[in-house]
Amino acid sequence: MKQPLNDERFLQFARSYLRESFPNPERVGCPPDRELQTLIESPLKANSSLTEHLSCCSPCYSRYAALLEAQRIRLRRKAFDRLVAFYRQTPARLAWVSGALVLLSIFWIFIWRAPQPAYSAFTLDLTAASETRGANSNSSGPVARIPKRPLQLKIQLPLGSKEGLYLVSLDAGKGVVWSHEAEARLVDHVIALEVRADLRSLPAGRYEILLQSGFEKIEYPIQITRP
Amino acid sequence: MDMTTREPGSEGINPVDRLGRKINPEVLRVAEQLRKRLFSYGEKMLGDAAVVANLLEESGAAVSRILQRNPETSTAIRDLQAYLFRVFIRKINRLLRQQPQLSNWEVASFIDYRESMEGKVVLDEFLGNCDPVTRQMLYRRIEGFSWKEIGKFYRVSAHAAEARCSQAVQRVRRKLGYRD
Repeated sequence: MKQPLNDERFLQFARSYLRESFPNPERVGCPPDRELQTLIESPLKANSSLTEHLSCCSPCYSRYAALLEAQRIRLRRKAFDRLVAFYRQTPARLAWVSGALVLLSIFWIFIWRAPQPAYSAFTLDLTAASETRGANSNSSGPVARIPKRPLQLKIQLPLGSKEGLYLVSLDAGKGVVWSHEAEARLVDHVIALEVRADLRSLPAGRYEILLQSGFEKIEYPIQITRP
Repeated sequence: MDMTTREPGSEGINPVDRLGRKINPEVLRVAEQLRKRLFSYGEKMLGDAAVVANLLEESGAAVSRILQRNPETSTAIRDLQAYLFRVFIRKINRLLRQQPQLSNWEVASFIDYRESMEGKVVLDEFLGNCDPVTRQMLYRRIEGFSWKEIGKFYRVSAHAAEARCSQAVQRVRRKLGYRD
C-alpha cells in the first residue's frame, strides 16, 4: 500500500477535511493572528497547544494554511532568486562555469568517447567452395587470407546457395570465437552477405569460417594474418 | 401551536451522562461553549441529534473522569476545548466503525477516500495522539511542503521527518486494526 503521507488522495482529503469540517463562526477559543504567524515562522519556539486547536477549528486552519502557502512560495522564490543573484552579481563566476562546461564537453567528445574503428571493405570469395556433406569437411582446398583489422566483410556464397538469414561464425578448432547473423541476397548474379567483423582481438592463425542456414552448412578454411 | 424549530442541543447539556457519570463543571462549561460546533459536526457525521447529544455527554464525562483520576493531567491538557473536541470525534469514529449503516449519504459523499471511513479515522486518531511537532509536520505535508522543506524547519533531515510522520501513522493504523 502507498504511504498515506505520500498519497495525494489522502493529502487532498485531509486538506478539505481540516478546512471544512470544523466551522467556528463565533471563533470560540481562536488565537490571534500574531500567534499563528509565530507558529509559521519559528515552529519550534511557538506555543505548541495551537496545533491542537488547529486540528478542530477550520477557520484557524484555513488561515494557517494560507500563511503556510505564502511561506512556501516565498521560500521557493528565494531559492530561485539566490541562483539568479549568484550569476548577476558575479559575472566572473558565470564565465568560469561556462568555461568549465565547454572544457568538459571537449574532453567528452575527444577523450572520453572511444574512437570508432574504421571498417575497411574486404571480399571473401567462397563461390568455389561447396556445401559440407557428412563429417568430412573440405579442408584441403585453398586458404583465404584475411587481415587482422576491422572489416566490412562481404562474403560471396558458393554457387547454388539460397538467399536468407545465415549465421556466420569463426571456429578456432577449440570452439567458436566470433559469430554474427546476416541476410544473404542476390547481388550481380551472386548470392552474397555482408557483416562487420572486428578481428583485432583474435590471435593470428588458422580458422574455419562456418556459414549456416537451416540444414545448409558451408565450411571454409581461412588464415587470419597480421595487417 | 409553537412551530419554531429548536437548534440542536439548544436545551443545554445534561451534567450527568446516560450512565449516570457526572461531568466536571469546568468541562461542562467548555462543552457548553463548544455545543453548537460539536452538534454541527456530529450531525453531519451521524445525522441523529439524540445520538450526538449522548456522545457529547459521554465525552464530557470521560474527560471529567480523566481529570479526576490524574489531577496532573489537567496541567498537561493545554487546550481543554481542543481535547474535548478530539475525545468527541474519537467517540463518533468508534460508532461509525462499529455501525457503518449509521453513515448517511452526506457522510458517504463527503468522505471519498477509499470509499470508506479509513482516511478520516486514521487522520482524527493521528491528530489526537501525536505530539505537537509531528502534528505541525503533518500540516505542512498536507499543505504541499516537501519532506526536505519540512526537515529544514525542524532541524532534521528529510528522511527523519518522513520517518517520524510515517511511523506515527503506522502506529495509529496498527492500533485501529487496519492492515499495513
